[in-house]
Amino acid sequence: MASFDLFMFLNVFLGGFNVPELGSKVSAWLAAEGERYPDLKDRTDALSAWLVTVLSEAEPNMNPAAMKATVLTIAKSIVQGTAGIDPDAWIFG
Amino acid sequence: MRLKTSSLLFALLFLPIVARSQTAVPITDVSERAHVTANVGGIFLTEGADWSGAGVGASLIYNLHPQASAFAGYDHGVPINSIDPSLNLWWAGANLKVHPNAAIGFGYVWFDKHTDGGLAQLVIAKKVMPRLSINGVAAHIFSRGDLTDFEYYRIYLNYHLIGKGS
Repeated sequence: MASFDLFMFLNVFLGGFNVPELGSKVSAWLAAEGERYPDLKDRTDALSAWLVTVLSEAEPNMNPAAMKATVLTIAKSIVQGTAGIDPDAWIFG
Repeated sequence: MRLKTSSLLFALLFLPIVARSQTAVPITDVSERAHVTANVGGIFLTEGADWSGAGVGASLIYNLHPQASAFAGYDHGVPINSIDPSLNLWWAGANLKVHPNAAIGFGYVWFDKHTDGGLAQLVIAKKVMPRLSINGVAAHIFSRGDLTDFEYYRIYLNYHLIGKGS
């Protein structure tokens, strides 16, 4: 997982990406489906499953286990509103 | 929607910003993202600099991403002998978390007025109590002064003074 995150981080310098398109799709999903999952864990799991489907369509050859683990982490950030926060960042000071 | 997988995954990192229907933490939210720590421990510089002693200092850390943060800090070093002068050490850079207890970092470091250079470091940290961790740093200094490159090691207790987290 750690090396995979590093890979993602380094890819900021490679290729283009369409954040608005994907972001609008996530917003649409949250608006349409979010209310069905009042529990945060259920909402995280549902969003993860949907994101995995989107990724699978974009790149069917990708490692499924790595993709699911990464998507679950990202989905938690979205649903729980803690994006960009590492509560233990201070230990590396 | 056909996108490169790597690009798509990277884009996902920013979805919390794009998906406005959820509460994300703005990059400028200092109260959520900034940390101040104080530390005390030992500092060891290898051949070239040849200095060792005790150090006390403080760091400012700013969260940029769950896996990345910027940092700046200062240490005052007291030598273990009566020959070497004391050491004033400033550093700044960014850390990339590669494990729950490890980060790699790059930046720049200043040793008093004589030596400065690029910094590449590995930080190992273990939280031992709420707000307290024990840390180790192994760094390579790309010296720009008269000295050749040298290694820099620190082992220290790190106390979380200010910031969210435990």
